[in-house]
Amino acid sequence: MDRKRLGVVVDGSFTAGLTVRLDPGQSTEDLQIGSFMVVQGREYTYFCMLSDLQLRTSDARLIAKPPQGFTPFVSRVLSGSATYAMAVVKPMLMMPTVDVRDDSRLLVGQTPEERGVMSVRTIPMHYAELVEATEIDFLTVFGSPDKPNHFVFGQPLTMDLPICLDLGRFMERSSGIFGQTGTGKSFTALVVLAGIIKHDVGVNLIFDAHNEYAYGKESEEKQWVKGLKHLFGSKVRVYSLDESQANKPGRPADGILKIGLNQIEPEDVILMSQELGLTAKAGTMIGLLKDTYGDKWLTRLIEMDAEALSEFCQQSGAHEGSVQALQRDLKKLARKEYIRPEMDSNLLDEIILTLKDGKHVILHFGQHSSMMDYMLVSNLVTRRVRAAWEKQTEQYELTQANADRPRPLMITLEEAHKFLNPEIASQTTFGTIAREMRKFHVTLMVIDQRPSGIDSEVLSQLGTRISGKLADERDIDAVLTGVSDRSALRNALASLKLRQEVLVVGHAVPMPIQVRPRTYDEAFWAEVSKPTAPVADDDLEREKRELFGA
Amino acid sequence: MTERIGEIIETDSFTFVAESFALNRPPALGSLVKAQAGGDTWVYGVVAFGETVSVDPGRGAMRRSRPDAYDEAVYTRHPELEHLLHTKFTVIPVGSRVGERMSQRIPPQPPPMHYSVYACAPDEVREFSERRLYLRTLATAQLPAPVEHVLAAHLTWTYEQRGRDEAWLEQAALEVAGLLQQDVERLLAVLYAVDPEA
Ligand SMILES: Nc1ncnc2c1ncn2[C@@H]1O[C@H](COP(=O)(O)OP(=O)(O)O)[C@@H](O)[C@H]1O
Ligand SMILES: [Mg+2]
Repeated sequence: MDRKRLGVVVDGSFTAGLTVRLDPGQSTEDLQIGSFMVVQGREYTYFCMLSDLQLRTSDARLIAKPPQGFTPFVSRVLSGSATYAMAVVKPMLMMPTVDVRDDSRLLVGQTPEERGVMSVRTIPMHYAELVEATEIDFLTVFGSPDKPNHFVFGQPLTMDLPICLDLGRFMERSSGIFGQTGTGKSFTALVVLAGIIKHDVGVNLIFDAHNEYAYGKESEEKQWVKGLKHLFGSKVRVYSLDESQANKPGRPADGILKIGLNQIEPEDVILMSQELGLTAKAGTMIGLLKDTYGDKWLTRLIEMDAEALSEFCQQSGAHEGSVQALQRDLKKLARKEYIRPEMDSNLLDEIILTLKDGKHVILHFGQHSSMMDYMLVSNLVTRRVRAAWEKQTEQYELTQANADRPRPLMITLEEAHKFLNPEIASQTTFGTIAREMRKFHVTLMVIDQRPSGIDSEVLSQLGTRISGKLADERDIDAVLTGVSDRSALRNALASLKLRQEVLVVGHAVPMPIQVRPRTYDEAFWAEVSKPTAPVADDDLEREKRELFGA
Repeated sequence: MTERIGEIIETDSFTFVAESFALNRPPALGSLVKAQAGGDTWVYGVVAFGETVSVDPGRGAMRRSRPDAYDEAVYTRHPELEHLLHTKFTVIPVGSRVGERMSQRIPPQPPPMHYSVYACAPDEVREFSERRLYLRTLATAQLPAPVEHVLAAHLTWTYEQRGRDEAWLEQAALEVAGLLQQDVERLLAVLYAVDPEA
């Protein structure tokens, strides 16, 4: 395959990248910052990212006094010589140079390493050629879709060929999807989640904050898109907080979730301090209540009349006005439609069993989609799930029986900064999961439009980051926390279009790459929901009834 | 075989001067010519200068015209001018040929005194100019005229000889641009002069 030559390396360093003199006639406008390119050295082929473009002139007089009135001929000739362009490319991976016509190198090797691709350890000499990447280069580095767990996530910005995520690696560590509002975070998450469900690499617990994942939503083009429940039927179970909306046609729910006051822990309440308007002293008082009443601390607090309250304050030494204020604030919680004075843990246990059984769970909030509802329920459910997975892992370590091996679990969390901001990340369940639950096979997929609001220790733990356009410098810095080659990647991020273009960096891809995620549409749905194994007829019938309410 | 156009009257390693057989009509500035160098060896060069002067350096030319006889009529009335004046042109060697082998290296010896200079046929021009390494030799030579004029003349002449070959002209202009990129004024002078679109 012939690769189009773009220029030759004339300068550079290992740290700053290679400076390439573009060939005469090669317009800078045909090249896009962040794109994937190849430099052919003598011994090695280098896979690079275009990180900068620069305009130069050979004679300062051309800058001081730009000549006027060029014919096209003169400007064509000048633009390849006295006025010229430099590209800066950053080598990310390399491999021993092989005959590019030899397609067989693709057929061997599951991993980039097995295909001969390795991290860069050197740079090419002067006059190595910079060439356009071809299909074979993409496939060599990013793998082809027929490799196990390779899921076609999208395509390069300027080419029509598949870019895969290694979903196994994606699930191994926590990950993040970032980007300004409207860049396509939720749609990208839907694509990734559908891939994980389809390839069966683990189970998902999804907190559907904005009612998008279970039953789909209306896109900005005013099209209704399908939800994961529609695509995967009984493989996905939806638990809804909203009794009134659940089980309308096309919205089958597998359970209605109620929360008992007895299930709410001090941690849940403190997480919502801002939403509930709690004072700084609330934590101490909640601690006292918990010490005194155990599991019933919240029920007792809410039931207290004036007399009981002052009695409690006398005994415990708490400040009466503060306790009154706390009681007032927490009564807001108790008035929620889905809150009951007391609940057993049957439904929560069912959720855990469902996950252990290999089915995916979506928590649907319906009309209860205020930040308070979302935070309370997500934290409460996750705390239990996390405990269950810890226990399972301990069991597995004891028996080492395959049947006891915990399934990889990924928890999808929108508005992640609410749970993982620096003030609280060290105390919340989600913070713990992000930092240390990898060994218990639990990871997070955090979705957020303000990554700078997330604790940097959490950010540095993220294995794979998928980011759409970000404008704020602090957000860009946050997304690239703990990543090498930041300056090249920063430019690559800044050059993305506003919608449906992302930079993927990290564990699930061999090197950073700009991708246009797949469009979440009929064609995509048809592909992912195509059953891999035949499904029994009555199962199908039942699913149809559930889905279409017939 | 092409036309004999002159005879070498001064010669050294980097320049030779020939007397033109046609008075007042030296070969075009910038044109490619070749000199016989003995046996099947030829020297190619680019015409960098032309002049018509008195044969006797001690006696300059003087006015001959009259109100009723000027220009061509001067020569009709004074046939002896053919012997008093001569036309010379300076050639910069840029390549050579031995038998069929053409090269863009300058020859090891200067072409011999009193040997002939020939014009080059279009096919030969095309063949010689296919590679353009010789442009560097020309641009860096000690020229009797400003380099931008010689280069511009050569590019335009060759472009015509090659049947208005625009692709060639653009490549050659790019090469010249590379050679003159430190001196934009000269470069622009060449480009404006050769621009086929102007
Ligand atoms: N992969 C995609 N497939 C289809 N439409 C998309 C995709 N990515 C983005 N869009 C379009 O962009 C709009 C915004 O996407 P969304 O995921 O809601 O953004 P965000 O969650 O970042 O605010 C969608 O309504 C849809 O029209
Ligand atoms: Mg969204």
